[in-house]
Amino acid sequence: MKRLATYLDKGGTGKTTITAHLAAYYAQDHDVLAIDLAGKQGDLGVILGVYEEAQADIDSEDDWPNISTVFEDRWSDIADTVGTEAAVDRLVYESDEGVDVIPAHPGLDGLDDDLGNVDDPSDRYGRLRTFLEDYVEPLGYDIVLIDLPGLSNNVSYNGLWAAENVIAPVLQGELEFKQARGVQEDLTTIRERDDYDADPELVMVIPNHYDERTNLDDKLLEDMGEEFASLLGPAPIKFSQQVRESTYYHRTIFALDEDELSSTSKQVRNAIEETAEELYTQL
Amino acid sequence: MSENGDPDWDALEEEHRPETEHTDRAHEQGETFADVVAKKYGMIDDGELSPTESLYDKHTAAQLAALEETGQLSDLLEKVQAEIEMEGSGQATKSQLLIAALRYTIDDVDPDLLDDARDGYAEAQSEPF
Repeated sequence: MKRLATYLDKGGTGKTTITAHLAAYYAQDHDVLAIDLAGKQGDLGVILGVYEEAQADIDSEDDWPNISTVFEDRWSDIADTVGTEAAVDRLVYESDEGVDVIPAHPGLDGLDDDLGNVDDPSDRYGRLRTFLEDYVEPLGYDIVLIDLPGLSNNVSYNGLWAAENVIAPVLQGELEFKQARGVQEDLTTIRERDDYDADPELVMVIPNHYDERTNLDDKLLEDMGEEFASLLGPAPIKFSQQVRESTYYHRTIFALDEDELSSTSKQVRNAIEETAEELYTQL
Repeated sequence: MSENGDPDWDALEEEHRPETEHTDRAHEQGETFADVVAKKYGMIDDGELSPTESLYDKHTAAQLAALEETGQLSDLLEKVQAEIEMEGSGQATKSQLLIAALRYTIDDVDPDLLDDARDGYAEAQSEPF
């Protein structure tokens, strides 16, 4: 089972949008699970069209267990009682685009603090990995994508440990490059620590919101190529209004017919496809 | 299991309530509630426990926002604080109302618990950090 986490210690770089679009693309030929750890607002579920169903369950208090429960000590007891498939199935919402989604939940609010009370780092950061290895992988998913918060905390570390393959969507700018460098450094630190049993690695930096009309973006893209070399994604992803509207219409651009796509969106779709194909071979 | 073979999630959730686990741990260690409160103050000072509690409930959110917008929040806060002889501190906020309401409720249903919490605070102040 391939695993992938989208991460950058900064909000608003397109992590959730890219995660959703990669998931939708992969779901055309694979069994895909997407997990939203990026905060209770649940944007991944919004784009993939499962937010309203999940929110209805929360409102009717029919929302247990949920993604925050898998980090708790009692998760194993729950799965032992009802069986792995039933336990995981309880968490999953099926999107119209073929992606199985474990959406965010308000329980994620206190999760970082709860994990902070776990003394052993391997236990504190390894809980999502245990969930994936022991409970998700046996179900036959081809790939799991994890959308992480735009900040460095115990929840993010769980995602990095679990996925091991990390991608970073990066906007064009020196501050953004600095963030991507920071991801590389953080992951190197994790790998080098003797007391951490984890090997997360940055496998791709994805230029996002690229504007080919400006010389500045061309220069920045060139600088990104020099900075990140083979890590740089094969195709910069332009800004597309239709992609931006994903959160409003609750679908990715892969749900649109060819004649519904603008010329820019077609280029963005092609860039995402090219990125997804190259990424899949690296995982 | 329910009658149709699906898991009875409500029963399972009740069976796995986390509060029971916390209570068992403290009792097993012979700690009083005041002791545990004192310990939690220490963890906050050490940065191991967040001093911030968040609450997800749309009813509470709607009511608090309405109190704020209609200007009734400060009057209500004063009333609650008066009931528990709690001094106000500057501008009335939603957080202050929640804090006062919680103390009022605990004082009403289990005043000994609030006394123990105060003892725990006193214990925490007397211990070197």
